[in-house]
Amino acid sequence: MEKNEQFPITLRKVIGIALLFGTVGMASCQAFFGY
Amino acid sequence: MPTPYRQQVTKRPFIGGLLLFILPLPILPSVLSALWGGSYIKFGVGLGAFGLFMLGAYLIRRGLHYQAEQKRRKWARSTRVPWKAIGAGGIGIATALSVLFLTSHSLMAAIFFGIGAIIGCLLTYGVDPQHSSEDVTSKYGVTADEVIEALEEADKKISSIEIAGKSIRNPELNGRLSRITKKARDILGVIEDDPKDLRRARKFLRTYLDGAKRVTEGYAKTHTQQQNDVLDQNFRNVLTTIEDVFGEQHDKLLENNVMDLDVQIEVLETQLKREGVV
Repeated sequence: MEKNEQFPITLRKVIGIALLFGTVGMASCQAFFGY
Repeated sequence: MPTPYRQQVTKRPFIGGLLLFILPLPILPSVLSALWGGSYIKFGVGLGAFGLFMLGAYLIRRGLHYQAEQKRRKWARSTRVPWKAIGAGGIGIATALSVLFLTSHSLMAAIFFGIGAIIGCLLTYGVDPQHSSEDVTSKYGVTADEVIEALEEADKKISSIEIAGKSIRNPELNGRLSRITKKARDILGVIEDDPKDLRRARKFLRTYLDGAKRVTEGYAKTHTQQQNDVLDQNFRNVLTTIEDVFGEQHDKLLENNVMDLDVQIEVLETQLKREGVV
């Protein structure tokens, strides 16, 4: 039961981290390479 | 059964939110190259965006610390500042500014990046915890802040007793002192569990913890200078009394028998006055 409850939190974090890499990470790398 | 209260916990390095300090780092070289190339607006905005990234990351970490404290203890300081939300907003603005001024993307793209960063922060680090300070007050008659303040103050006194006790080289007295501090922490655990006891116990904690602290520190200082059997015996008597009182206090709090406790406190207070502790 507990594992099922924790699953959405993990998924949420994975999506969140992917979004952070895709926005903050992408923005800073593009700034770095002058894209 | 309430767990003994302990303010200090073993500290592990807290890594939550560190990613937000690392991800914007590549901006720094591009900001410096903007300065090198004489494009001062790009340099100014880039530096501002980088600062905002760091500030946002710091605020989110602050929010995470606060949340961890709230989770660890039953009581957490009431704060209405949504640190994580403010931090996420800062990071969103910083991302949009970086995209707009440091890359060749359009304003629309910058806005999308900013919103994406905010959503990313909220999904990764969650939203700020809700507060129910008023409910606590109506239920227990004290605010969460009052409970925390009293517990922290008492915890400091217990720690002082433990520190002073370390310089006493007498296994029997040390044993008594460690039993007293353990019992005191048990009492704090009971109060933390049911803060209704706080008003009554506050008087107890002031009188007895202060007394125990003063007498232990005083003894620790003087006994290193001179050996005095009478002093040892007096100290032993006081510790015995305190130990008994702490034990009774703990039991009484558990029984929630506050009326009886008040009488007991007054009787024992007089006794301690006679011993010259308070």
